[in-house]
Amino acid sequence: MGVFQVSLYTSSSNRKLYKTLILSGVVFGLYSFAVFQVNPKVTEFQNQWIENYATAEGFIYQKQPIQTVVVGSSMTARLNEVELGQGVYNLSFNGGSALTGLRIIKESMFIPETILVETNVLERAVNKDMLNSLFTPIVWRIKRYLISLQYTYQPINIILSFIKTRSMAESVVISDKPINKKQLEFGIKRHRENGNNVGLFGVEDLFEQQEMIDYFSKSGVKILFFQMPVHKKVLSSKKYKKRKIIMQQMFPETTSYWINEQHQFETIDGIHLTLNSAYKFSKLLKDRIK
Amino acid sequence: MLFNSYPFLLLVLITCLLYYTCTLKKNQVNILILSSAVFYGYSQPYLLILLFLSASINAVTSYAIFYNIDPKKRIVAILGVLFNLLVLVFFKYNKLLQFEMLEGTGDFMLALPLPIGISFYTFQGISLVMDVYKPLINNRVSVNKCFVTHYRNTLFFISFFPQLVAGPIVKAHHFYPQIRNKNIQDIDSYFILKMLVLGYFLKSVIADNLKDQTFWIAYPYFEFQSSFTLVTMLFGYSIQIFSDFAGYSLIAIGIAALFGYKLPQNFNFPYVSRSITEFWGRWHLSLSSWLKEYLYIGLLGGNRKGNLRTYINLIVVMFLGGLWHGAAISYGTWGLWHGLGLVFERKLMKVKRDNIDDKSITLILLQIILVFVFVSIGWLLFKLTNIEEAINYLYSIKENTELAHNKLIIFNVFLYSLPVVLYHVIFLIKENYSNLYMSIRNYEFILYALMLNILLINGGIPGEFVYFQF
Repeated sequence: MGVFQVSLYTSSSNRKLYKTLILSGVVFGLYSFAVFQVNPKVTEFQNQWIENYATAEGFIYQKQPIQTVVVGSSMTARLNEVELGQGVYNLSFNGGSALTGLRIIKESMFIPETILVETNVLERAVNKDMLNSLFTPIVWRIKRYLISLQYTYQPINIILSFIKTRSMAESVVISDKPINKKQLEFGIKRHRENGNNVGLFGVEDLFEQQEMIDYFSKSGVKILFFQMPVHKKVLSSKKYKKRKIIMQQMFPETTSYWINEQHQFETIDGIHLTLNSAYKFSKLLKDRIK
Repeated sequence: MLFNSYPFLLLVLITCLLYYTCTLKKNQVNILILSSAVFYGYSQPYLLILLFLSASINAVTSYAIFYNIDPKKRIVAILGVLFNLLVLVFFKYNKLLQFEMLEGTGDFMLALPLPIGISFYTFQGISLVMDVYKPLINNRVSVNKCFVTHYRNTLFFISFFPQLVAGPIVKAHHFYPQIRNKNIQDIDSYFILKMLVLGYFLKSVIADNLKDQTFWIAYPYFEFQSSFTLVTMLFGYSIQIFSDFAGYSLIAIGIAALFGYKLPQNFNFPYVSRSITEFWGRWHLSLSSWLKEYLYIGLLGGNRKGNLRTYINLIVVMFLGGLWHGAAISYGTWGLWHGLGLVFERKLMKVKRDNIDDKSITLILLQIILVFVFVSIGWLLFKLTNIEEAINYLYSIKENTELAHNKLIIFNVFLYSLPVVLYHVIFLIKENYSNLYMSIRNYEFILYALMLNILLINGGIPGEFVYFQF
């Protein structure tokens, strides 16, 4: 095949161009109509990043009234929304931080009554790519009405959720598996080492957070800080001790919840709770913030 | 500016409208140069200086050689090639070579950013100088007598935005004859649609979705995955890197065709290759043909100097080809891996050629699988640029047989790889069952309509093109 034969199929005609575009339009219209009508409940996602986008879209295009928003990292993302109570939305992201959640609330121009801010990884920068993608001019408003364009309603997610509800494939259902000891030990060691690297974290890293907290406080939002439980060896690292002091210095007016019953909870890798522990902690957090 | 971003779509739309506006027709090349400058300088405008410098030196050198302005045109040609290579070495390999020309310059050099696309446009510059100085048969480039026109053409050749940052690498003798006014009536819109739909489908649906599955190849995550999951992820990465780069190339070809320019094919169904030699005749064709034309044959003499010299030439070319991809030992090792594979294959073919039944389907399948496995192991060095981690990954495949499989990853990898497998199967059908292929072809529009739909409703989270870093 010569270098300039670029096409798998070589025939070309305008008739085929129109046929392709018309068929495509019809299929897209049918899919969009079906999704809009059925409005499937999507609970499973192909990966954690798509899940992050779906979480954000669920907030931006909210269907139920929201009074309280929880923002945080993957640690908080594991909390059970049902146990947190009605009117509470968990806007936490795997691989992300509370700051991204705060920025999304601000960009969406929605003012909740209360925001619960996880403090474990406050210093992580905002995910700008995600924000740009979620709030692309014009497109983000179209997505409100054409829900088939939202990440949430990707066919693959609908299929995975369907499989889960039919309990036909346990494999794609996240459940509490036995703790992998190797992973746990490795995780504790790694997070403890990171935790002792205090040079990476200081007051200057929290300026953007302070700005956001000020913005919401001035808008009349009640801000509450809380810390997700971590393994005791991670908790005793320098970063965790320093974080508490810095937080109290920077936000003296804000109420903080430093839940002390750390020993009640198990983690899979030193920082992420097992699903059972996440369930328990959700209940505890709900009771404390009442 | 990324091909999968809204600003890019806007740029193409505006450029296209201006390009085919009757009153601006005489300025078509200027319009494309301007758009290319916007495209390239969008996030880092200062990089335009280097691009203009590169175009200027190559324009002057090629003009001087072509019109014998300097009687020592050999020296001019060497200086021209050296300039291109120096630019590449200075910006791309400074960290690897750890330059310290003057005291204190080391830190400055290390802080230099890698200009996007530098590996591609410097190779195009060399191609211009070589084609003007010592063209192979039918490779001569005609240089315009008016220097200003030649300078403009060279600037256009170097900066043409569809292929500027990640190829296909265009050779001067392919591109210069195409520079003329274009009419919208000559544009094959169905071909453009197919290239764009297929390209964006490969990039956004396949590569971008697979990247979030193969993410776990990274250290230390792979240590906690089962052997089968690790093998599946490696398979997925091979499909991902193909989809990412082939997708980019198809988009580039489609956009260039929108402006009436033909770019060379970059991929020709590489995963049906039955030998490593065949693989390199199907993978990143514009680079492999460049290396073959200007380095393997042009500089090293190819296979005309005996077996041993041929083997050394192969290893050297592949090693340098590896380093072209990135300034890291792992890329050089990747090149050596392929170089040694080619040498081993040549020796083996000499011994076995007479005893093999080339038409046995079992043998053909076995050869395809073996080449795929060989190539996939090589890709590991692209993902895990720390060689020790790459070796540990292979070791984990051997060791982690007892761990539970990650079925979600396995399901997703096979699901998103399926279209690429079918894409290659259609090619095999075309090669072996032309009647069946012709009947499929009548319904190709259904395939493209479906791909366009999936692109809209199941695209992954946009990621950078893998080859942008090169």
